[in-house]
Amino acid sequence: MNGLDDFQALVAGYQDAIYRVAYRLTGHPEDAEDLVQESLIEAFQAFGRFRLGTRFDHWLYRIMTRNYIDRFRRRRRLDTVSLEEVSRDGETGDFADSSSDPQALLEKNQWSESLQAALAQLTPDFRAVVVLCDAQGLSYEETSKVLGCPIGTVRSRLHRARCQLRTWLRPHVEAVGGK
Amino acid sequence: MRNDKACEERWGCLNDLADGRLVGRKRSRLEAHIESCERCREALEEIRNIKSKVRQTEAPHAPDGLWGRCMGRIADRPARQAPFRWRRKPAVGVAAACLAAAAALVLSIGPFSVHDEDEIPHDHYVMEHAGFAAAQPLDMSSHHILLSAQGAENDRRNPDAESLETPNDAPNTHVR
Repeated sequence: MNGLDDFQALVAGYQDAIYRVAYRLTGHPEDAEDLVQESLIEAFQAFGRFRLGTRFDHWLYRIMTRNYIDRFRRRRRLDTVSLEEVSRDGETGDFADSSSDPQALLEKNQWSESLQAALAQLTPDFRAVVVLCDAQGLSYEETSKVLGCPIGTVRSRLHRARCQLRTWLRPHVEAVGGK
Repeated sequence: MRNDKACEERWGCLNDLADGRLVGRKRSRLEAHIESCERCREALEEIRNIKSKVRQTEAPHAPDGLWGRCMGRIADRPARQAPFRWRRKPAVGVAAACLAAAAALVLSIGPFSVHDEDEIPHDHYVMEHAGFAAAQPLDMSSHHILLSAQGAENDRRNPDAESLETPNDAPNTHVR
């Protein structure tokens, strides 16, 4: 498998997940787009080494997280909105939502903002684990393969990252009643 | 008063419990503890809440045309040549470079045998040596030659005498 058509067909099946992971990792729409583009180009160049039977999305996540940790960590353009700003300002932004209840919509989008701000404060290693395990639902084993680290490392990073998120998001949870 | 530190040490296991990775007696013991510990119960609830929110919270939609732009960039890029293996394996590259250098050295020196056109005739050596010997006769007074001559004379006069240098009953005194 090394044709552009094959590659394009595989990417089409995971477009939403690819962009979601990129956005959760970078916290910026523009950075997410850059990360997606660079990772797809790199993935296509390595597509000849992609083996059938491997999960394409996990293979792509591996390239994306490596790119993110290598490059985006150095750029230090990750921090955008502080949690305090989110608490003061309930800007909803352009988030997808299927709910028609305005109150639920507001709370949900507040959560998205708060969560994204909290994720932005995690170190890249911690954020990658949270995004893969909690947002994408990968198992510890799958996450360890994607990140190329032992399962124990995934477990400890996840534990520490959740402790930090709990601390940072607790005021917000109390404000919206833990919904 | 509860031991807060002991509870905090359990929070790693609370993550395992929330992720469904805790089984057997460990799980039973932790669940029994949670029943009686409000702090750990709240911590578990927070973990589950964050997990659920992270999972449910949606990200913005991808910008329009993102995938078309990506595929366009990929299609526009010239096909990258597969790197040579030796470039990816430094040891192989170094070995190849050494071999190439050795080959170049051998070629620059040339074959070990003398070319026929450069060979000096044997007669020429004989003539040269004869001329040298005539000009400088052998010096028989040198110490080495004198000793050899004396030894030969002794052997001629007393052929049954034992050699002083290598007596038959002498221990082996060779120094290794």
